[in-house]
Amino acid sequence: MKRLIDPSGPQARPRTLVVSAASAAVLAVLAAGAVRRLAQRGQLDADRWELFFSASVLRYLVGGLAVTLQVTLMAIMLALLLGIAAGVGRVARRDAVRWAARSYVELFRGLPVLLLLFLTARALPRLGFDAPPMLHLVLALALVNGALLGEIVRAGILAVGTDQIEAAKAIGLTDRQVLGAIILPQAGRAMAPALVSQLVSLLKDTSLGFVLPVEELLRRGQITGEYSQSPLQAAVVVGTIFVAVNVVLGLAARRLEAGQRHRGGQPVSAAGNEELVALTVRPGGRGSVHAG
Amino acid sequence: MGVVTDSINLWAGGVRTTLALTILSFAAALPLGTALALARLSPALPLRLSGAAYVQLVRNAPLPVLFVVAFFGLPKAGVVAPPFQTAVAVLAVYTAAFVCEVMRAGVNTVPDGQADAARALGLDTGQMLRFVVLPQAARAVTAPLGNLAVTLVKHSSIAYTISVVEITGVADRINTETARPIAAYAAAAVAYLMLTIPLGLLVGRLERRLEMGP
Repeated sequence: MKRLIDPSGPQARPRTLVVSAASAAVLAVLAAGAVRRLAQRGQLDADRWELFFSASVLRYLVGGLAVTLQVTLMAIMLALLLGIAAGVGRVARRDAVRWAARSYVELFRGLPVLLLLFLTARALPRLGFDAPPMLHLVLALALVNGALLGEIVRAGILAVGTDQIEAAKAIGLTDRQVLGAIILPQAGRAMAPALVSQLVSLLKDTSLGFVLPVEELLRRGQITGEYSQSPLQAAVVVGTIFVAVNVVLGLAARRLEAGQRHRGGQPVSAAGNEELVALTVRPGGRGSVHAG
Repeated sequence: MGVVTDSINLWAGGVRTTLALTILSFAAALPLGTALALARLSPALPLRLSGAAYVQLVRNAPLPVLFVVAFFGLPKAGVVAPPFQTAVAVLAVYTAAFVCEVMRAGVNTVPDGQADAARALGLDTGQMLRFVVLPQAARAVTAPLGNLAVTLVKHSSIAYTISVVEITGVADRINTETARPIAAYAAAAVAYLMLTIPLGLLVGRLERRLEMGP
């Protein structure tokens, strides 16, 4: 923990104990109150919860999780393609390319995934583009996250530092060589934690597929909940699975971030903002850079 | 553009609902998130642990799942809440976790030397936070908070899944009645962009004025 707050001195220690005891007591009372209310309405009955630990239900839910992961994987790959194109496009030389990339990013950064989902699922068929609901979900997620990844890629590229680019040009590398051999490898390492964080965000958004409906985890949870008339229990179980999966991904992200710092680079930080769209990037080179 | 003009009242209501959801949730999330950040920085262990647990749980849960849990769970815990209030509560609780992390990151941008100097001047921890650390942290915190607000505008659309009729809901209703999905949803997209783009530009301008150099 930060040294901002020194270890407690002799006056503060008893005060801290009092605050600890008081806050623990308050939290315990609140928790007990909620538990009692739920129990009174039979929400904590064993038979309501047992269902979710039976093999067939678990297999059903895990099937939903498999679809969730499938959608996440397809969407993130498509989003990466779009994001790299957009990120590189925003720092390109030609005005038209920069303008196109900027328009794409500004457009899709501002739209909710749910709306885009309705657009792809209900409007596209009118234009003759018919596809299973899962692909509509993938498309909507990829378009929005592609724009967000575009900003991350741009931040990563700009973080490499102008001195590297100048040095590379001085020894005679072409623009394409500079991009491929100097910028992208370093930018890639810097961006990895932010990319994983965006991956977590994307995985969470796949649960919106239940409106289409796509047979992902939340949808299957809802069906189970309706069937057993225990919608709350279903939602809690599904929520727990999501949290578990994302916590694991988050730990992987933190390890990547630590590894990046250890190698002496400056990671594009994933702290504090799930969409990472305006964190101050501290570049290795000169100048202050803003990924916004 | 009949889709827009015929139901201009519906659209106005939808935009008003989206704005209400966003503003109310954000106004609640700011103090809640700041309190969480203070809890996570506190020397008292129960506060630190519960703050960390809250943030980890809420950040890793999908927002639609949180909406469903609240929608079914609150009545069953004896709390009567109509969909709009439930939506505001869920959005506030969700955003507060991210506000907390932004505040913590902001406090970390203040150099250690400031704390040392405050100590040397004889300020206690509370005074140090109030007069030295938090005012400086405010510079680092403003832009990310602005982005959270933009994100909140987009997340307010999920309230439609518990039947709150905001912009997305209005578009869906109009589509059901007129069977013109492209026009309806495109109009909704324009409505969202009219909210998010100016807000994003404002955040960008704020960021440049509070330039945080290396």
